[in-house]
Amino acid sequence: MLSDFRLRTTVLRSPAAQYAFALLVLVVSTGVRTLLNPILGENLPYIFYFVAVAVVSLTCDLYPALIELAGSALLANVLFVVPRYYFNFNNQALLSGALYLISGFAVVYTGQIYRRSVRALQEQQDWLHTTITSIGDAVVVTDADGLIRLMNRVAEELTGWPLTEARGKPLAEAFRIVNQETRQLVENPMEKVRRLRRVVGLANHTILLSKSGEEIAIDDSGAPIFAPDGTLTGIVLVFRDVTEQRKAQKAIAELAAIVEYSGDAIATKNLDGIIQTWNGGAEKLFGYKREEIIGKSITVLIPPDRLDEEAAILQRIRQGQPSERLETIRVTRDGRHIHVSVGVSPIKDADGKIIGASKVVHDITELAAAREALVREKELLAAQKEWLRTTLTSIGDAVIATDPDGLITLMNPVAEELTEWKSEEAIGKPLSEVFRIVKQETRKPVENPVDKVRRLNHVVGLANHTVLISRGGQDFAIDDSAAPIRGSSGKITGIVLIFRDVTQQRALEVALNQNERLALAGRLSASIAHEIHNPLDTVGNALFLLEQQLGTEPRARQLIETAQQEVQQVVEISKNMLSLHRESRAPSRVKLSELLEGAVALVKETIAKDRRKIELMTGFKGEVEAVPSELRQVFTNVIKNAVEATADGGNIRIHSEAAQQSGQNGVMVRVVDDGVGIPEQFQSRLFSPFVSTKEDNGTGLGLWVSRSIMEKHGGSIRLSSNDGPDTRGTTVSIFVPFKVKSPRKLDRKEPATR
Amino acid sequence: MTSKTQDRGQGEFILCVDDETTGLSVRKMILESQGYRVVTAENGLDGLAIFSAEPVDLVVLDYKMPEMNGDIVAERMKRLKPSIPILMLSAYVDLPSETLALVDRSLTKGEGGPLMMLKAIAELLTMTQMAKAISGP
Repeated sequence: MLSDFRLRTTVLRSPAAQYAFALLVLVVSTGVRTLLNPILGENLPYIFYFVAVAVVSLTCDLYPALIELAGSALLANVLFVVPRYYFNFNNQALLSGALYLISGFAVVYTGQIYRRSVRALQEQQDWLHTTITSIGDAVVVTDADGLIRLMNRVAEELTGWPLTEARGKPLAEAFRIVNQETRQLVENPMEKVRRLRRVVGLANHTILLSKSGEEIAIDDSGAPIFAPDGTLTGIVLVFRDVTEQRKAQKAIAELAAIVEYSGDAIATKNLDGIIQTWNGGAEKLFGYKREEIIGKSITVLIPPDRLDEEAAILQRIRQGQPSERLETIRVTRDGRHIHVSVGVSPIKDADGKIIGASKVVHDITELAAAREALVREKELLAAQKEWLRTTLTSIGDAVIATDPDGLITLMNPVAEELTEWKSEEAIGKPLSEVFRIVKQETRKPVENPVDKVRRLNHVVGLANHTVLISRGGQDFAIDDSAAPIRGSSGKITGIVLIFRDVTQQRALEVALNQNERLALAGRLSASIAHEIHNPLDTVGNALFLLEQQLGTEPRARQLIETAQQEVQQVVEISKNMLSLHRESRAPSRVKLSELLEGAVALVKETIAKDRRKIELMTGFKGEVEAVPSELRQVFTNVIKNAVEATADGGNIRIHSEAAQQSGQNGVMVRVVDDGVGIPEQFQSRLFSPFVSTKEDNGTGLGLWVSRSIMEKHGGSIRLSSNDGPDTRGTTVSIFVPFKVKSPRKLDRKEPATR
Repeated sequence: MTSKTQDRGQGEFILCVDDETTGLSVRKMILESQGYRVVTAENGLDGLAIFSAEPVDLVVLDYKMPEMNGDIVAERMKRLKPSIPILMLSAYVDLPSETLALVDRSLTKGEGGPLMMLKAIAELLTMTQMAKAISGP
């Protein structure tokens, strides 16, 4: 029986002991046979010796057994075969001796065989025992009924039951197992084995409760022991403490879960680049399922033009260095190219040897897109800035931009020109320092437009008649507007000022106004003329008729004549006034000499009567640009004056020659008479209206009108006279420019830099 | 002022056109006192009607008139009977040259008194007669 296998090997181990035992048995059996001599006599000399041999064969090795046999044969012969006490050689004795030896030998043989098999068995048992004892796992062996027969040390430790106590007890008593979570009792494996008659594993998550109540997580299996005839003879249960293992497993599971559920794609490869693991993130990112990509080369993910990246990465990995994060492109299962960021680190085994690499791959499509958008925005911004700069540079107006406090941040070239500040110098300075503005007439400083914008918080225009004083002290009439620059919050982030030089414009405006006024006056005058001349005509006519009817009454006639004269005066005044405000006509080219000849012709009749001389000297032969009728009027007027002055005798000469005056080229016409001259006190007032030296006839308007006309033409009329006794006479100098200049001269000083 | 006894008319037929009623009637008196026969019209259309219907010898024409200005009247008159002299009397000081080209003579009203006008009329009539005499019937 297996249960008896702890066969006690005898004390008889050493050969010496065995020989001694053999001897002892020999002696004892001899003694017993001798004692039994009276009963047995000569019979059965060998009988006890058979027993002795059997005993020794069973308990001793071969040689002691054989010695026992031989010795006992000899002793029997000598002591117990008749005649006693000496060695019998007779046939009977020898025969029985031989028989004894043969059968004794058989006994020895059998005994030895038995011993051997027992020993073998014993050895096996011992080996089994040692194995079981030294095995790392716990082993419990039960018999077919489930009673514990055998437990190794580990099982004793884990269950808390020593074998001595556990032996013979049902398994369930010493081996109490519950489910880890539910704490329910788990089916005894022995029952399971008995039921299924095959090897079974325990359910998972089983906990062994030791005798002391300690909980140990275990993993195990039970197996049936069958006898050769197929009957179940026992069950062997093997289990181990898997607490550490479970902890480790749990840790591994957690790590695996982290990898699996990480949003990033994480994969590992060996040093040849073959993919070993592939997480869920990688499945999602690349589209390859775990099964289809593990075992393939990682190059399947790399676009052909980037394969050298992989070589470089592996190189670094082999050296044990993690590769730097690389931004690159990878290919998905459906052929899409995606922007990714890849980090690769070496994987080392327990000895520190590099066995592969782990890759973490981020999809940076969005990041790349955002970066691209940022770059585009930057480019856009730069382009806008450039456009702005170009616009400002090429804009015809001056532009100055300031920050909310009025410090200059920007100036375009036109602004630089007008203010005569370079933008590098001006930036950062307060506007009022660079942009000095005053009122045109009063020269008083005008409110800084930046301050105005800040005050009013909206677009403003400058007050009219503002003059900018440049750095060099030059004046420019300017027109402008300032506007706030608002940030997205609506707050003012700066102020932009735009202005332009309107000096020319203003002059033009003035001229236009002038013309307008003149035109208006002209139109007014025309209607006045109409109103005046109609009645005057009628009055003149009526006086005429009256004169006829009054006949010879002298005083009446005198009065009528006076009235008629006065009427004429009024008409004359009116004509002169109106001619001044005549709608301006465009100048045309006219031969100067023709005008002079025309004027001279008018007075020729008068002159001829008195035998005075008027000479038109040959002079300037060319053309001038002028309003012919007006210029003619001037000449006529001056010549008429000369005629008047020489009423009592004298000569008149008219000269004309090309000349220059005030930087202009033109013709100087001089009407020289040696008439009465003009007293000095009158001379300064001559060109004023209603001043005349002609006692009755002059209207006093001639020279005034003439000067006005000459000014309009951009020329001049000057008079010098002497009424002294010696050299009397008057010279009137009329300067007619070749080209008519615009009415108001621009009095801007020419800037040096322009 | 020059002599008043010169420049008398011989009964020639003068048409005066002017929108100014008072001026027109006084002018008529002056001319009749100098021996002319005068018919008046207060607007251009009436003046044209008379001009085309009657054997007018000379026209004294005002410039500024409502409905039809004097230059248009002169133009039409010239088209009808180019040989009849037209004296334009205007209250305006300066007339445009195109207008002046349409008439035979132009004077400012009031300037030089009635004598100037009478002299101008006499000269025009004389010249016309001489021209007629030269060119034949």
